[in-house]
Amino acid sequence: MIVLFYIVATISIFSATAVITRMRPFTSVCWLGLFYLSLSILCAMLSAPLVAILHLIVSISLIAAFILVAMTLSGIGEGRTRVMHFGMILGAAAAGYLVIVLVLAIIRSPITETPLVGLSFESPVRSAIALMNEYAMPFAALGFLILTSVLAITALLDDPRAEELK
Amino acid sequence: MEITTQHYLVLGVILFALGAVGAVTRRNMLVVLMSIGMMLSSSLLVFLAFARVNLLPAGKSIVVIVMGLIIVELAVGLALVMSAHRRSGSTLIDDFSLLKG
Repeated sequence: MIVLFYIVATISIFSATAVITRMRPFTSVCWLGLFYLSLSILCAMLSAPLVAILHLIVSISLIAAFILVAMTLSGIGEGRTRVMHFGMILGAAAAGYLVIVLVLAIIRSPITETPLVGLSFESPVRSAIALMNEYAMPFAALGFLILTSVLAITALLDDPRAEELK
Repeated sequence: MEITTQHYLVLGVILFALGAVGAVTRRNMLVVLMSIGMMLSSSLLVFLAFARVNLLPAGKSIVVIVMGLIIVELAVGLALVMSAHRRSGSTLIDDFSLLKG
């Protein structure tokens, strides 16, 4: 277990360093995906498989958004040929290893049904009960923040040329 | 040899410091945004480590809420980057000095 921790910790530190040292934003986004994957495994190792799965889902959506923005801004995918560097091959191998470890960690992790006394986030039902009862206020505040952010994004990305086009 | 809370705390601090270095030193808005996301994500690790020690679900509930905050922050940040690129054609921080005193 300690060996696995050190491997995952090394991958996470290495990928975090690559995120801030790569010159091209698209490469940084790829390394950020590896960083988020390693964090999901660390969450699974901390006896929180549900949080690990949630983190994985959130990070996949974030990486997809980052990749789209990076491709839009840097013009990747316009017919230019890319060369696979050694670092990209290394990162892909590390990502494959982490995916296997994450799947094994989630499959082998005992998600036990805890009694209703007290709160637990180890199963979706318990999570829903806890969020709707004990943590209703921060959960509602988070929903309000998400609504505000959607309105802010709509206002920010409002294209002034749309009126002219009409 | 067991994995203790100190292991996770040290790792969280290292990752937070790397994110802070990236947020301060890089000039590209997108990379700065990624660095801030890294800082927030490393805080999740610390919350989970303390939640495991204290056997309290509060840490995990905070993790779920912080995840939502990360989504909100990065979504608005990406919209700002796109808006800035549309207005000035650049995503470098040095090109924006409107509020410079």
